[in-house]
Amino acid sequence: MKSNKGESRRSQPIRNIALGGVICGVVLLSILLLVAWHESNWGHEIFSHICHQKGDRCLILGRATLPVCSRCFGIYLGIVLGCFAQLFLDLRLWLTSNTLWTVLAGATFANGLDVLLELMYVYSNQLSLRFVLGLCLGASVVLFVLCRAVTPSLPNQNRCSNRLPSEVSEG
Amino acid sequence: MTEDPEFVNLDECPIKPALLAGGAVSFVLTLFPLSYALCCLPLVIGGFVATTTFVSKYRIRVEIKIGMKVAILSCLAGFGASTILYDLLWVAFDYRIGLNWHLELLSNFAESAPESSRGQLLESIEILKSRKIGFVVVVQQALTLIVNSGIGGAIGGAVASSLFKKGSLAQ
Repeated sequence: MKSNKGESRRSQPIRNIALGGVICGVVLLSILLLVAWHESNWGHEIFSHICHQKGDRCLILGRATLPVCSRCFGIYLGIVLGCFAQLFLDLRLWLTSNTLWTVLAGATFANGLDVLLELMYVYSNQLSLRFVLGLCLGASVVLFVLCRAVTPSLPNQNRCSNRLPSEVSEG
Repeated sequence: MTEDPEFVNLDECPIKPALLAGGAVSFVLTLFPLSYALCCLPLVIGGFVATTTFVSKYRIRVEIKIGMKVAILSCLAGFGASTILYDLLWVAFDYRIGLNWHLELLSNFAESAPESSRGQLLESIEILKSRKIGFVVVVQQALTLIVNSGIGGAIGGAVASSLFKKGSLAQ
């Protein structure tokens, strides 16, 4: 009981960060949708330094083209969904460090392979594939970060362990 | 052989060296329009370098929020400096760094783009060519600087702070 309470107190800063991630992410996604909705050149210009904005690689909602490509949009959405999942499910209790590394490496490799295969003209412009791969990358990065995050030490608490709660319970 | 102390006072760890390292990387990578092709990766790398320098210099581990703060500040410094240099050359010599490369890239995009987005791309090329520096452009650049440094720095700093977890906890 005591350890559960301690774990809960240690998870609180992570929950706060996840909540911050959800809020910032939702604001960013809303801005992207608003810029697309208003077809604002000004807004597109702001995001031009963070994405190539190649027309045929951007998602089109109705008649509006998003100011970032489908992979970037997937990454941002993945970050929001990952923060949301951490907020309600506390995935630190379920995921081990090895799983996190494997998922992150897998998502990064899949994105790299997609870019490579496209450069080699094996296939061309798979919007939905790029979106899904971006989504996986964003979610895996945010879970890696939140689950492995260093938590602040509370008064009278022993030195923080680098091990995840899921690994501690395994002994 | 001495063991590292459990905690380190964060005030004893000045962030200037980390800002310089991360800022220098961000400056170089954003001065040339690599960002148009690599999305937010240049600023993610800049932020990652800043936080990595911070934790490795003092042999500490930091909470996500500290890592993100260092990374975002370094991205603001580096990207800000490159924007100022870009504007100075634009005003003094009417020369815009990497403009020809950017226009060529956009033209290639326009050639391969579907009919629906080709017009928008050609329009943006014309706008880019005829643009003059002024108050509106500077405001737009300031917004770009804040948004992009925030996104890139937050991702890079968060990844670095959860990746390197050896040493004393700085708080």
